[in-house]
Amino acid sequence: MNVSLNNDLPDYYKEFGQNHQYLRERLLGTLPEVQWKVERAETASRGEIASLLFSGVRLRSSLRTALAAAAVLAIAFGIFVHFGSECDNPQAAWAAAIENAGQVQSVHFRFSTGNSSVEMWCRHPQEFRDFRVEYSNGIVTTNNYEKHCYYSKKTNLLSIRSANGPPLEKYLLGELGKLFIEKSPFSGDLISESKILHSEKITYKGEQCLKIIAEMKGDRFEYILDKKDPLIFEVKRYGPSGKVRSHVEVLDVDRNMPDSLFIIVPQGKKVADRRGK
Amino acid sequence: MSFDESRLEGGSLTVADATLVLETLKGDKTAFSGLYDRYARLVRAICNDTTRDLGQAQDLGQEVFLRAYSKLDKLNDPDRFGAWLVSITRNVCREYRRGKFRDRHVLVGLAPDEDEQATEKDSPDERLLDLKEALNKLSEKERLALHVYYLQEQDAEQAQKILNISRSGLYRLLAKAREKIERHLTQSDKT
Repeated sequence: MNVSLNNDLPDYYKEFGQNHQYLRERLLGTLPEVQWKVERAETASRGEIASLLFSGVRLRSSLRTALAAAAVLAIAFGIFVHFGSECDNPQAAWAAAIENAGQVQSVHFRFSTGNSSVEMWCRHPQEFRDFRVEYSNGIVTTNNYEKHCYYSKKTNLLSIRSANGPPLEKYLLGELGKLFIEKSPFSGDLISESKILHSEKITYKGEQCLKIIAEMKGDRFEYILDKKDPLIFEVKRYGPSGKVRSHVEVLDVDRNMPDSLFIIVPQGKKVADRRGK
Repeated sequence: MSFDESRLEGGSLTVADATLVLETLKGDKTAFSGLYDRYARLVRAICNDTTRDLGQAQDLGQEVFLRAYSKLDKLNDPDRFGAWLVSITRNVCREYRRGKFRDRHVLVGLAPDEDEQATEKDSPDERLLDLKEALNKLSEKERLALHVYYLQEQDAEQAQKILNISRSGLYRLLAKAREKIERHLTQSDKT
């Protein structure tokens, strides 16, 4: 027999360690800001720990706030920190970007690849309040604190569920963050791993912008940044073959978004109201 | 107490799970990263049994840890973090199978990694492919036993704790799994 299990099983399991460090940093970067109240001495036996967990721990969750902040950071400001800052100190640039991220009230952007796309509106992100997502396959979702709505144009079915836990968009935004932050959201590691190939001043949608072409792990990234504010207008990512892998366009920032955008009107649709079930 | 990452690297069990759980609850995210280092590979391996795609298994794995983190106060016995995490993983996989994550992956899958796909297809390592095929033919229990055993530094005590079975039960499962794999591989060698 060619296969020696003692060698090959460990070989097989090696693949589950792939990108481990990157994934860990990404996870740590997206962990919600949860503060646990533990009222006890520093040392405790396992039994004591268990009883403590039964009785004394209180969770003060600011989950939505943290997730929203992380999402906005990832969408709008991540790249600026990597490439757009004129500041010599990346940490200072990062701090400035975080400061600015807190001010954003709404973001509208489109994310697409060769075969599909999604358009997303996010309002009051600090409170993680309203989302609308339109998929190119005709699915529309709106989510907020109270409910998740899912509408399929194909079946004309609108299904409504109570919100219990972070909305799906949390994940979407997190994944979109991958486009911008290749290694770890809150680490400067990737600054040294990326290489700026070219930069030039351009006018983009009437604004003075900076176009930066950078390379990272064999992929080429094209960024268009607003020179005045740390905002990204556009990111294109090309694979080694020159094919566009993904394209993100920030269409609006801080634009008033009407309430109606975040509501799917049930009229004329088949409705499955699954709230409270 | 602060946790030096190097002490935890490679699944070294120098700090008890319960201690890491407690420190996480006190707000030390480094402690949670210790738990992540210890169990992430196992979680991904279990997810991979469902997704049959490493990228998606990694995504599901992240979801498992996010869920575990936000429910950490619900863990009754912090010393049994491993078993608890495995049960969360199985739940997440079940939800995945039911299509709960469908939308998410529509988007995640928007940007297929063309190079990674090519690498996978061109891989000449048929031996490993045979092995994967054999693993897919095992029962869920047998596969889980192998995952836990091989991804927890072949520590039988730790494995039986996570699986909540006796030592002899663990060895029985492992022996059965190995036997099945060997049989499958012998057959594919012949063909």
